[in-house]
Amino acid sequence: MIPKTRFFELVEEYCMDALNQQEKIEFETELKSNGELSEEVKFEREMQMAISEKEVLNLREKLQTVAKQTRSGDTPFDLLEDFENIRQLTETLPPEELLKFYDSLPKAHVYQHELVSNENIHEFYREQEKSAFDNDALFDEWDDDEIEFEGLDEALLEKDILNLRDTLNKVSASVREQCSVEEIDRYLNGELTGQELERFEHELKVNSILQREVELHREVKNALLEVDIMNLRGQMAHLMKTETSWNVSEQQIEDYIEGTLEGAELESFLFEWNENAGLRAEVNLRKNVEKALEEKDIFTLRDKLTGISKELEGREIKSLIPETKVHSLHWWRAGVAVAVILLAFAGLFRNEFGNINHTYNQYYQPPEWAPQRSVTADLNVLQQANGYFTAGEYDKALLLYEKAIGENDEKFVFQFYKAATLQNLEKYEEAIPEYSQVITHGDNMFVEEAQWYRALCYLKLGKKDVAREQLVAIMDKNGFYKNDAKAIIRKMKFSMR
Amino acid sequence: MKNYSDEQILKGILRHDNLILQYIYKQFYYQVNLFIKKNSGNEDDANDIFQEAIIVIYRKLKENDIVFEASSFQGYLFSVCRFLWLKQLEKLRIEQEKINDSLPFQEDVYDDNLVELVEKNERYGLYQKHFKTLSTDCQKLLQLFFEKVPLSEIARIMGYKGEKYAKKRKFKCKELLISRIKQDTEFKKILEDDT
Repeated sequence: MIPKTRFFELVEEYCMDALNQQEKIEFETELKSNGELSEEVKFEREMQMAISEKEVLNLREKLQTVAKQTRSGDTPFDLLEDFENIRQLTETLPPEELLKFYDSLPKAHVYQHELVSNENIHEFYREQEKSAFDNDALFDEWDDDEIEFEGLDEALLEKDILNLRDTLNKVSASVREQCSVEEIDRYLNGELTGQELERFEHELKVNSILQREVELHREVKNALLEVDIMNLRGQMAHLMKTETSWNVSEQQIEDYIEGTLEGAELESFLFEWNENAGLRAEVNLRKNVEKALEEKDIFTLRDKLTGISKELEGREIKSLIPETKVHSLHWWRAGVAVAVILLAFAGLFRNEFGNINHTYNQYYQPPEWAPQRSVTADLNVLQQANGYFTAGEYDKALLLYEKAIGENDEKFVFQFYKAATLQNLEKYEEAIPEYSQVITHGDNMFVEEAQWYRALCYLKLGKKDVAREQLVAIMDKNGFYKNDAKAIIRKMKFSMR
Repeated sequence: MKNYSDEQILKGILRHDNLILQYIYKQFYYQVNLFIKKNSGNEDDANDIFQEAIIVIYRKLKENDIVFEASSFQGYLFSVCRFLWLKQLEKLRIEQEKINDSLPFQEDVYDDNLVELVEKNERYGLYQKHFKTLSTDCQKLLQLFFEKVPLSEIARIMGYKGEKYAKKRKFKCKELLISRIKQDTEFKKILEDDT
């Protein structure tokens, strides 16, 4: 049997009449009995002809254009512009057509070789073009037919190369597909045998893309076996997310702020303080918290203000003004700010206050009501129910939500508020599955909040591990509650173990 | 805070001891952070570099290839961090001559082996990153397979109908993984660097 690459060489040589007498006779005998071969020969002939003929055609057309344009006295640049239209005709064979015939691997290789040999010509011409370009000034002066013709010729070749490059890309892409993941996998597992194995190994020797592919598969396999490294990486990432990055104790920070840190301790503290931005931020935060706690008057004022905006919030909800969300968010953020300060305060006297309920109360703010988050939900029911909700008549609200869940497609809206109501009623165990449904639904704007409130429910129920897991997940999502989640986790480490 | 000896630290890294890892982070991170921020990096970069440096050291430990002659763990860690960041800067085409060296590093750490190891770590890290994006099903299946668990056993563990399905599913998972790796721009960069 003739090897495939040789096969195509033979066809090519036969068509170009480059075979010796004996080979030719053998080939022709084969040709008569072998349909595939004769098709191949026919194609090769056609291709050769097409390629050569198109060039002739182009050349002829080009010559005509050049003659015409020179006669009408156009500049060489106009000439090139006009040439744009002709370029369409200069294309040899469209890549798809070539690919249709070149469907086997060796063929693609042979073709690639041809492409590469053409590219060499291209380089040669490009050098020439460069020197011609350098002589641009001369170009303008010499209104010579021959020079113009040269420029066109180069441009034509350039177009050719562009097409070929395109084809090359497609061909190489098709080559890549030839060795499927499955095949490589089987090879690496030693499942290939006999002819298959031979073919693969032969291909592997000559095909650098395949070599790289096989290498990649090997490496991926090794990489996936490194369970320890993946664990270590996860552990580090978690640690860096939840740990502080300073190497001084809390006592030292407090002493430093009070001005009682002395001697070597002070020295090492200052050394780190100089370089560690995280530590500086922490010291500043603690200083500010202290200042804030001293301002008792402002504290009470803030409380009052919060109360007032809460009231306003309630009213605005009833009037259903779109601005509700914006306004309430401000209020809400202010609430968080207060909570954070309170938490910091609690942090200072952790031993007295550090318990789950306290954390929960600091962080739990009932969800604000934002009707615009749901597009089609029944606003009437929502409005009514939320009226009860904000007025604290949770039982009535609950009934309405339950009814709405039964009747509406956009269940998650009502599920979320139902869960929030249950949470307000301190029925945490019942709230959790409702939140879970909102989260599982996934495609709505309540997911993030549902996760946050569900985590708080777990916290309240004393399921610390579940709560921690949820909070870590919230942190990973990098959303609005990220910092709060982080703060709670840190706090849990100290006070709830 | 308790101070650990270099030996304790190394042993701690080997067994992924949380306390030791915490200690390393608290003790050394801020200097690395400062160094990277002084040299066109940000907090995230510092996080990545610090983490990868620990991984590189862990790999070295596993290969039994860490020798502290004139250096200490700190010197070694900083040298690795610095090296990793220089490599990153190279990719970003930032001139390294202007590097603002604030880390006490040691030149002698940069042997050929480290260069090789870091490159391996870079590639493996990328593969592992994409592996982690697969469904847990796929992850488990591939790992079982690579651990040479027999297909029949895999099918049983995963609750598949039979070996044939397990095999088919494995191909699908692997195909997905490979295609994700190939689409990664980082991967393309690594390939470019090789050639």
